[in-house]
Amino acid sequence: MNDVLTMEQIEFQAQADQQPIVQHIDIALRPQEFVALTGPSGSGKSTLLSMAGALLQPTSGALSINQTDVLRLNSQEKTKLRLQDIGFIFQSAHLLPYLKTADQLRYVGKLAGLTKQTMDQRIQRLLHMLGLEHRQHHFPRHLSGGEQQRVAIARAWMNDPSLILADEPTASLDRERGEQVVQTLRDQVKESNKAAIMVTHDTRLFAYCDRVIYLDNGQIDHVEASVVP
Amino acid sequence: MFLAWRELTYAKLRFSLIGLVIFLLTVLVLSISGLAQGLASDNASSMQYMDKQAEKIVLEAEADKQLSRSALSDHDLEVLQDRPEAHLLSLRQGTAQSHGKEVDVAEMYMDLSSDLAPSLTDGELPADDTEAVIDHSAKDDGLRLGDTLERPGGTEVTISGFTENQRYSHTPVLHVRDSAWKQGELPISAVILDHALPEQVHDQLQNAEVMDIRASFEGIPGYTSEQTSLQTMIVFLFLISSIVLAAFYYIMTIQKLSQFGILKAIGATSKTLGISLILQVLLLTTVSIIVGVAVTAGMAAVLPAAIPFSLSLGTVLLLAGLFLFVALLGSLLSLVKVIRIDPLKAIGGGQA
Ligand SMILES: Nc1ncnc2c1ncn2[C@@H]1O[C@H](COP(=O)(O)OP(=O)(O)O)[C@@H](O)[C@H]1O
Ligand SMILES: [Mg+2]
Repeated sequence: MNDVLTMEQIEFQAQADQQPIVQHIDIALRPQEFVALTGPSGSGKSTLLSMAGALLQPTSGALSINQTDVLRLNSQEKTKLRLQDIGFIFQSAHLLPYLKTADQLRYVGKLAGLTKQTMDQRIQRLLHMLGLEHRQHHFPRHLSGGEQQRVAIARAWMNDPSLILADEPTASLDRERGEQVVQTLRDQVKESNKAAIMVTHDTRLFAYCDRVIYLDNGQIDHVEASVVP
Repeated sequence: MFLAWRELTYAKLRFSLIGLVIFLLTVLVLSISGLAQGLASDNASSMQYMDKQAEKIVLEAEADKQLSRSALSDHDLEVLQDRPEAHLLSLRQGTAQSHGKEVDVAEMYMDLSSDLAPSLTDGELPADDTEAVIDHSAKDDGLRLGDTLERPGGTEVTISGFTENQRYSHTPVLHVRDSAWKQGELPISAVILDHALPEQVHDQLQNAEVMDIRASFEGIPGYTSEQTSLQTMIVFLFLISSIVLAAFYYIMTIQKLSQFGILKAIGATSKTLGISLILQVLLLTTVSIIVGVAVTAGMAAVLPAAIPFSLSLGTVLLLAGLFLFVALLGSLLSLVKVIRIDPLKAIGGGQA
């Protein structure tokens, strides 16, 4: 099967005369793969994830998402790529305070130009999947932290992206909620044929992933295969 | 529209407050404009009427555009008086008496069979020297049809009719017949022209100045000072409106920077977000303006007659349009900010 994400010798340098922030990165991600990215603070995890998400242009190397050479796209094409092929989940849910749960999903569906029918079907399916049906007419302020993060996951899923990028998605959750959210992520990756990278410091969560990439000082230190419980 | 509308309804209090400010500013701007126009017409409606019917006015060169001070020379009158487009006009300000009551009037003489003749609300134009018509505002001084009035010069006339839009320098205009105007004894103040003079005629004038009738308004006592002070207020109100709106939207945008960053990261374009912002501003401003116009109209309807107030539809539309423009101008700063937001800010554990 074709790779969802391929990074070859990716390097990012903020300023020409400085040490690169990340370098020599080689990552290949196939569908159904769920990878953890870990390492000390400042080791370049977010920078790497930003490049994988077409938010930050690498200084050198090759990067493709679903066989599309990302480095050749203009900013409009990148926005479209993010909208259709990539789902982002952030440390905090970052929901729009004035949208009810169902509308959070509907908005990204609208951005992607989905038909009303497709949109309504997907919203119902996603809300059901994430156990949010009884919360669809609630504003974020009436949702618990875990529920908010699940809405953010549903939103990331809305346009059926093939690549999920999560930057410390459980940082604002308690342990139990965090594990629930990651379990959901894992289930989705396996069931819906996605690929996902999750940045995390929480070693307990490695068990949910297929591989753990250890980053240190901007380079891949080592990769461990994870034992699935 | 999806985002714009939902945010408006979600943060009702916040948006109502800014809506209230726009509404109040609209009412203030419209009231002051109404007052400015009301005062202008109380001061100059007779000249505004002439401006509608004719084009130019000839005044004595040294008169400073002031009709009551102008007296055309015999030579210049000779040049003008037999031309078909010329109508002689004289003005005398003074006090008339009726039933022992004094009424300040602006007495005018002109050919009442021309287009310049005032339109009547009731009665008829004077049939001979013993009759005169006066602006209907003189009814407030107790004047009725058939009443006898002692003119500023001392002769008596009977009021044969009332006119409309005939005020000059905040007094009613009294129109008398041509023969009642003792030619030679009182000067001819000006000549009204239906259209511009041929050049060779114009060149024969020795001590006269030809101008658009509108340009002579500033010679009416008080006109310029009233209008400029009110217009200065209006300009400042517009300035304040744009600054208030700009500040409000700028602060709101700054507070939402990370939100916009997230939206861009998940695939919203600057264009989508910009359109949403502009739609929101337009919606909020339009509704506030409409309410402001309605309330001003209601206020104008119950205003006592002594306060000169007049607002034309054209002015309301102009001011409303200007307000929308100013609102858009105010949101420009935020728009630039929104376009410049880097979606990268969303990733890497920032706060919402
Ligand atoms: N645009 C940039 N310019 C300069 N330094 C940067 C830039 N982006 C990131 N850095 C630096 O690179 C390092 C890695 O940052 P980051 O990827 O956020 O690390 P992590 O997410 O692993 O904590 C940090 O030291 C950060 O200060
Ligand atoms: Mg980070």
